[in-house]
Amino acid sequence: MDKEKVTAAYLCSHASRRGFSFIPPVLAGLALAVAMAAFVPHLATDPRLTGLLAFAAGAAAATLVFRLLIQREHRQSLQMLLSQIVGENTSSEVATIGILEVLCVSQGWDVAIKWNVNAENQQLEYSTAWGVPGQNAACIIQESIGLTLDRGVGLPGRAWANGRPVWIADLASQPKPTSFHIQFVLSNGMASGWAVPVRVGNEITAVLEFYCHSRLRVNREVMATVETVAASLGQMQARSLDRDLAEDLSRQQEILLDSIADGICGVDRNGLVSFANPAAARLLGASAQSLTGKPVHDLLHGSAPPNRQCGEDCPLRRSTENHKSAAGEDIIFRADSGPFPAEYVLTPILDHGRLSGAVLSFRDISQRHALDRLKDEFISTVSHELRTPLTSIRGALGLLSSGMLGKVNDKAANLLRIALTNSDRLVRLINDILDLERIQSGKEPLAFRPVQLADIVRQAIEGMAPVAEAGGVQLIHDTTKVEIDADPDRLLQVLTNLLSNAVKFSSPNSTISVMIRPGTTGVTLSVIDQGRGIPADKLDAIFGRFQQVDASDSRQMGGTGLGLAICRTIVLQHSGRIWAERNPIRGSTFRVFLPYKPAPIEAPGPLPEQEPGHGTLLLADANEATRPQIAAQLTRHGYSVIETATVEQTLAAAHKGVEAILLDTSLDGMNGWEILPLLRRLDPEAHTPVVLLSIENRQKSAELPDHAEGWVATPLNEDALMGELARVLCGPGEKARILVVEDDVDLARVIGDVFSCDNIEVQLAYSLKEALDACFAFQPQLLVLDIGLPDGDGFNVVDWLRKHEDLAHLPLVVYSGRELSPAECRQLTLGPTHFLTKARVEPQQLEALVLTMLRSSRQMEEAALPAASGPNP
Amino acid sequence: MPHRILIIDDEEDIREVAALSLETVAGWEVVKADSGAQGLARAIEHQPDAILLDVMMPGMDGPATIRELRKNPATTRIPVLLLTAKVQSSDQRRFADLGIEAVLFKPFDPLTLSTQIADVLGWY
Repeated sequence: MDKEKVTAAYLCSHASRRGFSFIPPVLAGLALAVAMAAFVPHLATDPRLTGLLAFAAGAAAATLVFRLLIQREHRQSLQMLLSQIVGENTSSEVATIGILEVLCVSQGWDVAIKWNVNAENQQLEYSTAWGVPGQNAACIIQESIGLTLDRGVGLPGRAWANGRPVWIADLASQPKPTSFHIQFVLSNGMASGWAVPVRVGNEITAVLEFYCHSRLRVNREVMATVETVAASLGQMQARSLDRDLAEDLSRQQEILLDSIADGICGVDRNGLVSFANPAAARLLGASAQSLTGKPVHDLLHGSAPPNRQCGEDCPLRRSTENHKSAAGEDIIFRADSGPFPAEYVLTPILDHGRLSGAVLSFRDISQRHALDRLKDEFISTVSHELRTPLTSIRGALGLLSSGMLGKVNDKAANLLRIALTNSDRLVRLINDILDLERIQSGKEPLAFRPVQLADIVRQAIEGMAPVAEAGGVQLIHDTTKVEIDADPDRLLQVLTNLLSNAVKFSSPNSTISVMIRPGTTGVTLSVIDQGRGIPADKLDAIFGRFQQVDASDSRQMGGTGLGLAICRTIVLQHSGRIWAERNPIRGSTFRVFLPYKPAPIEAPGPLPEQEPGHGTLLLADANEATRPQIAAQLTRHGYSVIETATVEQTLAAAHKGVEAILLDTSLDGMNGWEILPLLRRLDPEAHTPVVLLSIENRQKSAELPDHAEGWVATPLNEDALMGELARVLCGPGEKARILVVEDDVDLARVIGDVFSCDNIEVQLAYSLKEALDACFAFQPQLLVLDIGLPDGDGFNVVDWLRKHEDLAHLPLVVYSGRELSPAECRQLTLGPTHFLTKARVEPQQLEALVLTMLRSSRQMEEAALPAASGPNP
Repeated sequence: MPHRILIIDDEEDIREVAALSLETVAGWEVVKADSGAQGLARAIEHQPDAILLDVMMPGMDGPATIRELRKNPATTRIPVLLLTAKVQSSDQRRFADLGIEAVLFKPFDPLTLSTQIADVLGWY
């Protein structure tokens, strides 16, 4: 009995002292009942005792309810306290300590430590702590400062690893060997410990660790309370992290904007300035505050004096009002002083497709303008200074050399000639350097107007005639009428240059021809010579400045090394392309492609205007990094682009009416060579040109594979890409042209009719002379030739054709009334040649033959393969 | 009667070579002046058939000299050709309003200088 008494008393006092006791309230009531039974042995029989027992049970129930109420009260007031702490403190650390304190004090715990989860290192790091005043708590906290715990290590580690609270009611009874941490804590008087993970959403961001000097068992109420606290802490921590991040970003941005030298203004969707950085304020001569709220155009032009006010067509006003991106140069007027030249960029900001404002950036370019002026003056001065002494040299040498001042002996004459030639060369060099500089820097803007290309060709040829005659070189040109927009003087310069080069490198009795071939988007001019030719690996390099093909070249003949560089600059300014080709037999061909209407280029100036739509291109490239860039380049040039990344997608998109296909040579691991036939099989009739994008250098592998029309090396050069596209697109889409040479009028008409329904243009020639003229003027792609003609015969025609580079490889169908001997066949062969005997061939057979030859000849045309698929060439 | 040309240029070598060219090739008579001021005086005195005038000279430059020549009734009708090393078109624009017959460029070909002048002035 005594033991029961003691137990009961102990239990009772314990329960009452603890308030939120861990001992179930029922036990309390029972304790009371037991106590009564102990003191009054005859309970069971005494009605008063029964009443007392009932009372005890009631009291127990009441206590239970009372306790629950108090607990709720406590929980609520704890919540309020927590909210108060969080609300009062902007520093989450201070708030955390306050929360830990409240929790510990209200529960009677000794130590609370907060550990933060470091997701990168996957470790727990000490964050902050609270402890009851006293040595033990202080020691434990001290030990924990700066510590890191791995997953699963120690109480906090385990709570983190398990994702659930861990409670050790009796630290001393932990299975040996215990961790150092637990021993340490034990030695500082702690009896029990627990850890609770702090969650934000699904993620554990921290762990709370508690110790108490008494042994406490896990209690659901307390656990609930702690978890509530933990959640609040987690939220608070997350919010404060976000806030810190935002503050950091804002600070960084401010630092950036403050230190940028360009003026930057943010504009809201109403066109009013929302902020201006210090540079903007400085450049505009006003304080940043005074700038905000003003319409942005007023900022820039508002302070203009009355005589310099801009009008309705002010480009700056238009761009700011239209919310379109714009860039350019303009004068900006300062509030406090005069104007300055500026370069600006205005970019609208789109938020999910809706305009939410714009950013204007601008900088002062007066220095650049001053430098430009200095450069111009320098060039002008230098040019003048160099020419002045050259005048005396040139004059003196010219007079001496002429022999007019007295006979000069041979050696002396030779020396004089050398001196004279070189002083001429010096003059040309000065001219060319100046020219190149001026053209490239845009100081000599081109004056575009409609020009008749044939006229310019004629002028150039007339100009070169004396030199050509002196060299025994014949100049011929075709008279195709084509009108394009160009600068006639500059074009003349290009042609003269090309002709001059051609003449320099041609030997006597050779011919130089100038051909004009109109295409769909522009015209291709070709200057073909039969001279020395250019090595394949130099075909690009010769357009650079001061490039030589080999030691014994144009310098000897007075060239400056800049001619082609000047040509290229001029052609580029016409939005065209210039390139050189090696002729299969001998000599070179320089080709210039000029669009009918070039897009105007200003240097430097606002963004170039979009060219009118050029059609749709299919871009097949699996490289996600480069394909969008290429597509962007193409779009800028006015094409619309369908992008594909796999062979399947490409084949699917290939017949959607695309003008050309740009094909990367490896797609889905398939080689371009394998893909091409697949594409061809899809549209055998449509003949969409294919341009290969390849990392191989074209010059190394001179052949294009079957079915490919063009080749551009990657990494892509925008000019090269555009040029190849233009070249490839201007070809097909043309009607094929055949020339029928037949003196029998009826037969000629019959043959002509055979082809009238195809996409073929037929020209008829009834005599040798007509045939020769037509070859030139009409530029047929295939010849149907009757070898018996009144004023000569087919043999003459073929001989003549063979002499001309451009025509020497024409596909030929020879129609004869009799069988030809093999020797005769050989004499009649040009390019791919077929022989038909009149009596034996039906018109349909002729048609089929011609169509096949045309198709295969077109494929070979641009590939510059050596001729020969007929009988012995 | 050979034509008489007045050459005005501050560079002595150029004066000499140009003079030699006109004398030797065309058999013309040449008077030289080393500045705009001297040129004006020589023009009044010798009444040349044409004046070959440099542009860049210290003191009175080419355009200034032309203005003076035009002001003076004794010289106002003498045709003037500019001989200049300033070949850029930005420079050319300055010459357009001066009332000159032509602009010849330095360096010139000494064998054809006289022909060029004769062509411009229609002398045969």
